[in-house]
Amino acid sequence: MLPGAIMHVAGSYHAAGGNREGLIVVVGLGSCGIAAGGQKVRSALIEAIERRALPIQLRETGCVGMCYREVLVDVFDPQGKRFTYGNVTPERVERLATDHFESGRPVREWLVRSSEESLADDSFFAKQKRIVLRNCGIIDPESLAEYRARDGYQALEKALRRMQPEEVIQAVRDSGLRGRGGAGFPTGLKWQFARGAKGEKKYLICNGDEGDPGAFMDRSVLEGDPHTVIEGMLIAAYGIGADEGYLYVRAEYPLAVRRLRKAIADATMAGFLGEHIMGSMLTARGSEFSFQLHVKEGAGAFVCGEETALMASIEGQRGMPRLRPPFPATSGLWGKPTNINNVETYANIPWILLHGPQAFADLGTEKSKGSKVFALAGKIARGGLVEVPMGITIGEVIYEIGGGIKDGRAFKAVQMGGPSGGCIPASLADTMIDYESVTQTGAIMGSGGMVVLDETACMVEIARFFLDFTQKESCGKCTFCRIGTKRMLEILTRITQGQGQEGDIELLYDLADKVKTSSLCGLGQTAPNPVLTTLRYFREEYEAHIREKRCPAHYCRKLLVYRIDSDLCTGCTACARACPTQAISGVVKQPHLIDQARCIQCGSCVAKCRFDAVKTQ
Amino acid sequence: MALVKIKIDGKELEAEEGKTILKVAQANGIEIPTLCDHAALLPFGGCRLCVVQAGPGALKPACATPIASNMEVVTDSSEIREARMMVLQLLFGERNHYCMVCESTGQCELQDLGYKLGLDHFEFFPYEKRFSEDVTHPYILVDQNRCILCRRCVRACADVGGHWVLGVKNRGYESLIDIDMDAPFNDSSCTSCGLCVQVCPTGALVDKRASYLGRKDQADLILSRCDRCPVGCGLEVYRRSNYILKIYGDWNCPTNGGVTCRLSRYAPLYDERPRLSTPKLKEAGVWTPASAEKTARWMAGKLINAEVVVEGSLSNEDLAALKSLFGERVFSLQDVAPPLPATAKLQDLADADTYLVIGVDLNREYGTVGSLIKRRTIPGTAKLILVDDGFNSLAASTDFVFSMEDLDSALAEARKGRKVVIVYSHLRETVAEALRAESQFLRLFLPYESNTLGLAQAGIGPHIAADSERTVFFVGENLRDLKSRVRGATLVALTPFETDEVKAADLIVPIPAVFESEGSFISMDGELLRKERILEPGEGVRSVSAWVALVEAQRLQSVVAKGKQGGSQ
Amino acid sequence: MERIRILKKFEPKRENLLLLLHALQKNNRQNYLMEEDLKSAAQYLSLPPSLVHGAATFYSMYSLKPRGQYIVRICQSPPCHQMGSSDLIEEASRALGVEVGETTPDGLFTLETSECLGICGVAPAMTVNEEVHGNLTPERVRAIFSEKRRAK
Repeated sequence: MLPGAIMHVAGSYHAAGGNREGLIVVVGLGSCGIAAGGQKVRSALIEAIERRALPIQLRETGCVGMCYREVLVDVFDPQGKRFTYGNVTPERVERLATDHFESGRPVREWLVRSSEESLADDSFFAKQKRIVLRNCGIIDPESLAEYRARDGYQALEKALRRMQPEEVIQAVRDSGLRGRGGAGFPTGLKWQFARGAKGEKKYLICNGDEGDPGAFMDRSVLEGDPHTVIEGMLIAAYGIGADEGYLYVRAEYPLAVRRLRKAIADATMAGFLGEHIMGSMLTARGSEFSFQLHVKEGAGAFVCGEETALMASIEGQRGMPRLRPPFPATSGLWGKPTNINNVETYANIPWILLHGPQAFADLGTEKSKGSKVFALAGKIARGGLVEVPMGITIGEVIYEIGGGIKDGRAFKAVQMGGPSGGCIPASLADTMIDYESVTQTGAIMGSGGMVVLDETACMVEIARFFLDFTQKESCGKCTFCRIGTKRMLEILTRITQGQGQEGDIELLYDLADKVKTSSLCGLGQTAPNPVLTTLRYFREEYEAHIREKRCPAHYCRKLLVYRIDSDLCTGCTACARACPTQAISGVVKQPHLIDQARCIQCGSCVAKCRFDAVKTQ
Repeated sequence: MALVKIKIDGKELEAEEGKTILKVAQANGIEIPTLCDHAALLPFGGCRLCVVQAGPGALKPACATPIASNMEVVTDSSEIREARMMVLQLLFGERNHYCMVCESTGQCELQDLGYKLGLDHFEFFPYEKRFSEDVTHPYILVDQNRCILCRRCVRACADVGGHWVLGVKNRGYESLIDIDMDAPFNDSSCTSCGLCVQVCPTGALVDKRASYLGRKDQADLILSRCDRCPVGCGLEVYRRSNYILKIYGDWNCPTNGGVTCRLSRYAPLYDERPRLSTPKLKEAGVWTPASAEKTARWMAGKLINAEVVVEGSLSNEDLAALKSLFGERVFSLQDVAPPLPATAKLQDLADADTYLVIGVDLNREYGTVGSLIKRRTIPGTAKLILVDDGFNSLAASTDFVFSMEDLDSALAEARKGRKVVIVYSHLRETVAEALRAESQFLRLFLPYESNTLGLAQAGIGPHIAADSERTVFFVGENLRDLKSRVRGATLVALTPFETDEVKAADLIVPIPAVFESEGSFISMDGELLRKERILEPGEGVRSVSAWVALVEAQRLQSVVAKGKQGGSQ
Repeated sequence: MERIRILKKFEPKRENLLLLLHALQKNNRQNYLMEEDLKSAAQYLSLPPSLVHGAATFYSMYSLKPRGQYIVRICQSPPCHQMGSSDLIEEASRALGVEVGETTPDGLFTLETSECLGICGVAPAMTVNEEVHGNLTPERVRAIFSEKRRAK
């Protein structure tokens, strides 16, 4: 981010009632920050500041995206200079307090970003375009005042005062925004269907059941900037003519639920939500506007991310997908016309209305406009949350933003789109990120999870892992998803255990094809994608497992051959004592040997050897 | 709905927009295999056997996809055939589908499809998990090993029966049919309506009584009406030689649309009371079998000033015969007149928004009425208000339960409704008075017995218990406390069963049991319904009308004889 | 009585079933839903028991078996798996002396695995009740357990 923007941030703190004298210290307390020990750092900061009786204001913020540097602490001085410390621990707080807070000397070796000098981590932000994340990691998510200081609820006011509902929908259509939940359906068109549906009562739903493994975009937005989502929903409700809405959040996100509840209460108090919004203002459509918003927690079911299953869950039932048609736009929640979008989609709306649809459409490609948030996870050097303009390549995201692969290993593939997506090999790193290009690879854009795999990943095992997930999460309604995925999983499991047979690949293709074309809902129809893409790009790995009983990535334990390197072995006997089947023999201080007939590939010897002498093949 | 043009397998058709592909195909003689689909149930789209190509992209289930203008449907192609075969392979491999050791072999829809689509081997190693059978229910056996999770039973139990006893627990591959909360079937809230068995396509739900006695297609199907209560449900009765295999509700019957209850489907088949097979006369305190002729003569000799008291399940024909013999001295055991005149019919239940049920446990009696109500109130489409003192199992399914004393509050709640139906049978006078004032409510009277209205039409009123020296005839299947009704009189009981209760009489005369006679009766809706004779009664058993004819003949004979005697004097 | 007090916090509408089950489970000292809980929920909402039981067994966060005071859920989704969560599971299993899905004899811990916790940036991760922990190593896992034991 540019220094100018940082100035603006500090300005917003002061505008929101901060002091103009002392420093402002901000701790990142998203779930990732808390998981890395953020609360302990905060306690240490409080203690250090109070002990010194410094005129410092301590604040909190959500996730700025640099999860690889958690815990993060920002220090702003009254001139608007910003210093960001990474990997802060309670132990480091003391020196920060002494050197920086007390004496005004920033601790340079711990800085990861600063408005005063360029640092290596700046490249994490250089190619980003932050629309959805514009406030994340900057404002206090529990402060409505800070949200308002950053133009919060101005898009809503603009819509209500100056735009007809049809104009709101037209603006969203003009922006080219497509659903960020995965399928990429044009948002404005969806709204138009809901607006056109017959019926007095209409519902609006926000899908926050972000369940793709490796995806945490929605969590970060809900935790870091809940009002943006609420404002986006309000604008949508005005557009389609809904007066009641639900925000469905997975139960794994308790902090998001808590912050949302607070945001809803604050927004209601301030007159942005509930009855008589904005003081019974007469809107451009000539009537008052009211909107009731409820938060619903899930209870652990991935399939509830599917829109019809989600509605069943809101109604208090088993989250079973329903038949479509009828589509939610005509018959959704309790049989009423319903519009459903995901968190990120709504979070784009206020920006689009304030900056105009053209500003959004100027970003991205012909068919994929705007920016997209991605969660970088797995074997990437800088794991975290990034927002990039559509049209950037996968390679740019992984190398230039993500800093390449961890520990200097080789990039093998990236899993995009979660269990519905697929593995894109390193050779396709030039693929542009837009809905159509990603789909061409066999993966899908999905909600934005990118799990980066390095050379140590076994692609059969990765496919098995994802299938294990979908199989467990299948609701069980339709035959293909309930039984088909189970059979596919069994085949993959036996391949990774060295029991693969000739014909297994063909059977996998056969099953995958049927599950894909004939399952009831999106979960089943996309479940085979991880298998199909790994078969497409890494078929030789499957063949090595089946024919040669060999795992090229040296991952599948059952297929490993353990040998002791006689040059490295000191004859300490640790491995022989650890071996549960007495497969290792040898004299003390002489190199040991493994009897392959007895070895069960448990790996105990590898774990015990202090000389790295046990090698696998 | 507008007519639209579509093409199925190249054939141009016109059909109503919004109808499913399956319905349109069936109406035009195009066959699409189905499994989870059932004509009486809402589309489910789970089994995927009926997949067809309709437009680009994934195959679509014909059972659940509505047609649209200019849609082109292909119901058969190599892709479709392969998909269907895979469905069968997956289902056959999921649990125990070894047909040769299944009660349902030969009448199983899964097996039929296997033959039809040419399944000739098991692709996947089948049957890894075993579940123990639930044999606790008196009438129904549950074997989850045979279940294909089509949920027809669950859907029928809920959407048709209105019971919601069956559900699904767990998810995905671990899914199982659930009974209440994992309860043994016999300890559950099951009302034994039997719908689940009727819709199960495999051997997962089996009528215990019918097991191993033959298949449906080896039996005669007789459509009849149930005379166990005045609803008069349409029944499909399956008979093999002189034995009833099973009884199903008749889906096509406008009265019940397939729903029935324990009383029509199971109770009569499990009636263990000893049958009376020959007339017996108490002579000097000893029961002695008597011939038909002797019996008739004995009865004919007691006719002077005699009266007959009947149960309300007697057919119109039997009533007419008795009236010919006894004239005005035919009485009813029970009340006949409603406490309040009825103003509603069963079909009024279909669109009411409030039901005020007073003093009747509709899970135990008039079960079909219960189903028609509960299937709307439990999902919240309509409101059930219950007024009763003491236990009533309906109380579990509604928030609005009031005591008789608190009738006013119940009425206040009911007044919020737009179309309110009061459902009642016997009523206390004060309650009847209070209800009479609510003239805006519709009143659905549940007559006390199947032909109560027939008795009323025939002008038969209730019998008043009194001491008497006259002979009193009782006719019915549940006769009891005869002595307390009349003391000092000679008693005759015409009944199918030789229970201790009827032995209070001086003569007991066998008549047919429920399935052994035909006849007509007047249902609660005032319709003249006919039940068929399904089984042949035993040799000594005669219908009421036949006994009347014999007695009449004896009487004539004795009149003639007396006449002769008189003439000779 | 306690149960009724909890139920009364929610409007008796069917849509509140999941929230109500969460509340009942949280209130239970052994972190699970007893048959009585399900029955009272069914009664309170006038729902057939089969629907309540069906929902309670559909969602993975409800347990119908008694559990420990602390529910340890180690994330096993691919990002955490990539970062070594299977080692954590093995270590936790050793440290607690129970397999996944089991509860320690003292009733203190139940070891479970979890789907993605959404904190992949600090993988591998786990939760102990509502507390989240990231950047874990087998040693850290042991330390967290000891901390909880002492807190008891």
